[in-house]
Amino acid sequence: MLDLSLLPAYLMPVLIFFLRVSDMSLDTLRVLFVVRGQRLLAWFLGFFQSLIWVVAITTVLSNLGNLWNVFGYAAGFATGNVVGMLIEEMLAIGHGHLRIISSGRGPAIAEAIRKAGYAATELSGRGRDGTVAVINCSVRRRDIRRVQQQVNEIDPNAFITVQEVRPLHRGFWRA
Amino acid sequence: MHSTVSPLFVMLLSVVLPRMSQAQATGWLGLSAAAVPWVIFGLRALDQTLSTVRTLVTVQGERRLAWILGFIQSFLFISAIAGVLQSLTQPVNLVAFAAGYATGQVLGITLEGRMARGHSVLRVISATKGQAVVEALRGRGWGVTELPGQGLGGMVGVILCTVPRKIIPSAESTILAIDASAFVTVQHVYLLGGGWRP
Repeated sequence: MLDLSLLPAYLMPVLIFFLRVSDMSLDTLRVLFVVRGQRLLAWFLGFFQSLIWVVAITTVLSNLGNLWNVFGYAAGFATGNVVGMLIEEMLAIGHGHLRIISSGRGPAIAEAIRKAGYAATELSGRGRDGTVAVINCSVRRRDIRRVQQQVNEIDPNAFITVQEVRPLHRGFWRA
Repeated sequence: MHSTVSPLFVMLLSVVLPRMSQAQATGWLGLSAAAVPWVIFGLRALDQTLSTVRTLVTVQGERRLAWILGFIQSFLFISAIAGVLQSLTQPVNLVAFAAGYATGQVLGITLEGRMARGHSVLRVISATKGQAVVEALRGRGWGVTELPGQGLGGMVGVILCTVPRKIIPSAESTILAIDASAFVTVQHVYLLGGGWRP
């Protein structure tokens, strides 16, 4: 088995740091897959994550005299969490549902969204100052920013919210 | 928040560090056996409270704050688990560790509710009092959009109202005071731009 106590003392905190970074990054991915029901991948990530974690924590606990190990552990955890955030943002798995409310430029916005290749559903509603257009548009998460820019070009005052959705049936998605 | 966290952290380190280095010699943190379970409980409760807040700011993409909270949390965890493992013959330490975890979860949920960052959209479906609900919500200063809808018993008003999460309870009571049978759902949303705000 791995006996990390054979390592020189100055290397140990560095090693612990990287062990923790990788286990926390895997953890972030695991949660992503758990939420989306990918059992097999979640199992593998969970297995390797706790394997790495056990090595890290035993190394720290059997060498508590060296405070740098504890620092390495804590810094690794914190950094791994942030690395996980970055991976998550890069992957941007999943879908977002955009709701755009515009008081005058509704049809133009819907037109532009459709021209860009996404689907848009228009509803007409009433706001404080009269009729408004409510445009519903579901896109892949990584496309949200692009659609937002398109909307803002046409109506900088449009009210845009986004929420996470899980598509049950296909509908029309941009390929 | 950063400015309040940092001095607290430095203070914490100045207390814990000198003691941790003598851990091997004098027992965990140099504490008397009677104090150990209480300190373990406290460390664990604080660690789990921070963990809840960290998860929250992680979801919201605040990297800096997530890092700082993660570091402190991890540090507290190591201290607590070291205390438990150094005297496994004392089951009370184990119980303190578990109780601290459970308490921290509850504290974290409470704190999260207090912080209530972000926005939510309320969707209100009212059979007859749609107009009155809209006026009341606008009267409180929130932007509202109405949509006409069709329910089992005819036309209904579908009302969309995006508010900060903090004021959801007060918005809810405003709505229910007018139409006690209104159907109200709430969903977390992110604001991307625009909108009418007082």
